[in-house]
Amino acid sequence: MFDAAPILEGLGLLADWKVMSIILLGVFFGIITGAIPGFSTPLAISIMLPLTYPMSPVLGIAFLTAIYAGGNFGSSISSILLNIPGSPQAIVTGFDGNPMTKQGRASEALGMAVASSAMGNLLGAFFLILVMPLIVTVALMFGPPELFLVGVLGLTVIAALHNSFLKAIIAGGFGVLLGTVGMTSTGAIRGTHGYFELMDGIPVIPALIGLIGFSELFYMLQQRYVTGGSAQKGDSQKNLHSLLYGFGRVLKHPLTVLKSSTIGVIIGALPGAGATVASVVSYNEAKRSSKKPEEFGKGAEEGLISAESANNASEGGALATMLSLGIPGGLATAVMVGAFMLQGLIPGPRLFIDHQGLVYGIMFAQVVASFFLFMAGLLVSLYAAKVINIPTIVLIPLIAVFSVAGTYAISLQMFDVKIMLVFAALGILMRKYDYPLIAVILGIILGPILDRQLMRTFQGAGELSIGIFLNRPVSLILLCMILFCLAPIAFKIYRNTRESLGFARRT
Amino acid sequence: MDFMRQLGKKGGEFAVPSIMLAYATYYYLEVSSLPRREINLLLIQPVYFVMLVAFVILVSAYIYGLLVGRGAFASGSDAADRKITNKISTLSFAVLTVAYVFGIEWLGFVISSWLYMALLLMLFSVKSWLIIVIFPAGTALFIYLTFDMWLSIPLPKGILL
Amino acid sequence: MTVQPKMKTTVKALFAGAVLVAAAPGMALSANAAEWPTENVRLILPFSAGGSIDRFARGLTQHWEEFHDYAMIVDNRGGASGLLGSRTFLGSPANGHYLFAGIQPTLSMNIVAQGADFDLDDFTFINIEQRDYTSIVVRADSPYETIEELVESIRENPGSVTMSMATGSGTHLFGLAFLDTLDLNPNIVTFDGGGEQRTDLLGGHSDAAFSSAYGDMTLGDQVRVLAVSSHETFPGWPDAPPVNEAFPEADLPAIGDNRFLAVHTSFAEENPEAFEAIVASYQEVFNSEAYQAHIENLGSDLISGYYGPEESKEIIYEIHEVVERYGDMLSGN
Repeated sequence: MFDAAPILEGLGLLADWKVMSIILLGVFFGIITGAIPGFSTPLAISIMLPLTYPMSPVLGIAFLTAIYAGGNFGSSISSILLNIPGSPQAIVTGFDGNPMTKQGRASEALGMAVASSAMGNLLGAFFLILVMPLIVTVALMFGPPELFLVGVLGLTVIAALHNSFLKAIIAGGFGVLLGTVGMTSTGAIRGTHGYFELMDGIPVIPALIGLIGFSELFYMLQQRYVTGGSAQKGDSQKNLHSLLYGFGRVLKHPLTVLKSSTIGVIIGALPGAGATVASVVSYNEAKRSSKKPEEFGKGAEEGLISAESANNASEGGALATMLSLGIPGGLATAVMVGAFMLQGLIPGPRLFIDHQGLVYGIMFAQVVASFFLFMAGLLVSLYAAKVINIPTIVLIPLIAVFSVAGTYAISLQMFDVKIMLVFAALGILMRKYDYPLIAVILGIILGPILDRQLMRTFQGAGELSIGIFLNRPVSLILLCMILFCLAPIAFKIYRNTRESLGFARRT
Repeated sequence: MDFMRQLGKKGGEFAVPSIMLAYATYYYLEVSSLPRREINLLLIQPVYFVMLVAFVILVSAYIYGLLVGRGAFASGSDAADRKITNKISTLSFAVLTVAYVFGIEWLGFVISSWLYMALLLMLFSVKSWLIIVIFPAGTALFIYLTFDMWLSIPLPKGILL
Repeated sequence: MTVQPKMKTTVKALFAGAVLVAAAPGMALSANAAEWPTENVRLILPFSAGGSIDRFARGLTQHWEEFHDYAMIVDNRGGASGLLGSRTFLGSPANGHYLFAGIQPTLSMNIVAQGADFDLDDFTFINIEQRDYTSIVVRADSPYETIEELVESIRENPGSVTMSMATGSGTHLFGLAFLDTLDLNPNIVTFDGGGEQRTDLLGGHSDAAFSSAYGDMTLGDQVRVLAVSSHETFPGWPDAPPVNEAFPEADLPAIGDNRFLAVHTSFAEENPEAFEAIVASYQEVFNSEAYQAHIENLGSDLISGYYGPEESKEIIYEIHEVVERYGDMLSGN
């Protein structure tokens, strides 16, 4: 199965100082832009995309995938320190990362994030190299019914997201409905209120920046410093120490890293799911199997590690599907499909056949990027940790303006900025009454997949029946997985309801 | 009618789900009136139904809890330990932000950002005039140079810059 | 996203200007000859970077730049199947330095099916450079060997044959016309883009697809093309009969994706000489050795050609009529 010749060719493509330096450059660029709230990773990649036109294929693609890897980590920096994720996949990292910052363990959290990201990325790359040819066969088996069930699988996580199952359902349902807005592939236009800009659906990044990022600013306003009333004391020496300590903590959880990366890769490989869903599912699983689940959300190491390794590993999976089938796994890979086509290469089954050496080169570039990610990540984190000592009166105007600029830059429309404002208002309201923001975001991300694939299932069969799902082997497996994921939740609800009813009866 | 008073006081609890359900209902009805209804509503219908059921259960459970005298509905959530205490500042921030966004199209990005940040700093009681003027100017200029000049992302230019 | 403009020296332009002024008296005789361009040119593309039209536009501008003293910048403004970018273009100054690269019938679909607030006559066409056609394609191991077999199967068992279409493109329009004219009712699955559609076909989830004849060439021997929409045999698929040969009574128009260049009509009407200059300049580039070598290298010479403003306009309006005929179905009815 493994030909020596193309593998060596791939390695040879990398043995070029230009390629090496561009990967390093890409990683740095990705980390820094990812860390700036408002400047999302897909935006960073799409800005650099036209510049890759004159580059050679391996140079251009390696550059963009390096940015993607860097961005996956970089967006966690602002999520951990400021509770403002730079990109959707960093939301979950902040669940435990930000409480750690508030406990004075910011550098430790960053160190853990660096190590988890780098390891996740590496594992994802290995998976990519070893298994990619297999992916083509498996992924082709996923037709509309299967892809729909994949979306449902992602949705089941919403149910477990929050103490109040009902609140999560309502928020998640709302998000899914928002996700269906736009023009369908049958030509029907839903929910756009006459705005042409909404024909492709509600834009995810502006919604994210508004819902989670901008609304956070309103809460930041209430305090003098991000972590409370006073600045955290620390110096570079101490920061470095904490960083390395955090790195060491990750090594104490090898199973978590392994399991999360595996989940990350698999989910990343599924079309449409992407790094965000990967991080949520991984986090959920880590919480479920942890000995101390109640610590999750309050600064649990395993929480952060599972989220970070999953979202970086998912890149390996997403690249696998993109390279072998040409289907993007998420926003970032969608831009990269464009990068390939710009080079005159069509990602898909033929790419591996016609350009095997190049594909291996790209995959090995991921391995290199993982090491650079580790080094660059540590370096940036050393200085990034100091950000929390900047008073909020400085941070808020800065972040506000950058958010506006970054949101505008995506499609060069002020319309997106206004969407951001609307979602900011919603975010504040939801925070006040304790509704899970991520449920809405997940809904917006998964809504289009669910809707389109369900529609295609209906179109292909002429009608919709459970029989369709039961007759196909892969969808049957997926159905079982969904039930398996829902079982613990159902059980928990049953127990809670019994308790509350029983409690009420006592009074 | 202690129950009614309690309901009114904590009525805000229903703000979020009510808004969500209201929009969902409006959306559902809007899509229902489009041709080829069954294909457009494939996903929307079940999701809406689930939302409706969840909403009803939520409200019923709450009212039930009130009637039984258990009072505090949101007692489990400690996320509300982040309260908005600084009401005036918060409101001003919101108003300024909205004005800023609409001002960009009129005055251009650089000038609006400069004004916005300066006004924010004043709102935050920054005393030094030097900081109020220089810091926003520097930031706005930096963004302009990075986006417009270096990355070729043209920022909105209103009647000014 | 825009490309970093080539910073051509303004000194060069100033010098050229000075020469022009000095030679003005001598040029009084040829006062009708217009200079174009006189500043950097922006080519607005209503699609995001990376698509086939993006590659076409970048290749063209890179070569076109060599023929005059200014930079030509590709401006990607994707969204709403090209609608947003088209509006951006029409909102830009109509001074001949903003060009438009679009796809027909996507443009007409914006107007008819999406309710765009512009008209076809807001655009004056320079050339349709690429004419792609629709292919009716099945997987290589499919039981259907000819188009007649497929049609017969659909006629006998409409509910058991599934065909896929990629909405918003010319292949979609042709598919609608084909099925309507031959009165066929297979199950139709719709996709938003060609990539997803191809994967679906390769996975065997649909039986056949209306796809891009040129685009399918990348799949090589994994697929079999049963028929093409062009009126003559398509060079890339020599074994596939034109649809009108297999079904002469259908008499279907040769529809596919047509990638064209255009300017504002308001500009072309008020500055006919300048418009002529643009057309002439483009023709020069297109026919140049360097550019022809470039498209041959890419393989897109199969679908590239020069039709000129008049013929291009005819073809585009012809296709518009077909779009109007199927307006209802395109809007989801």
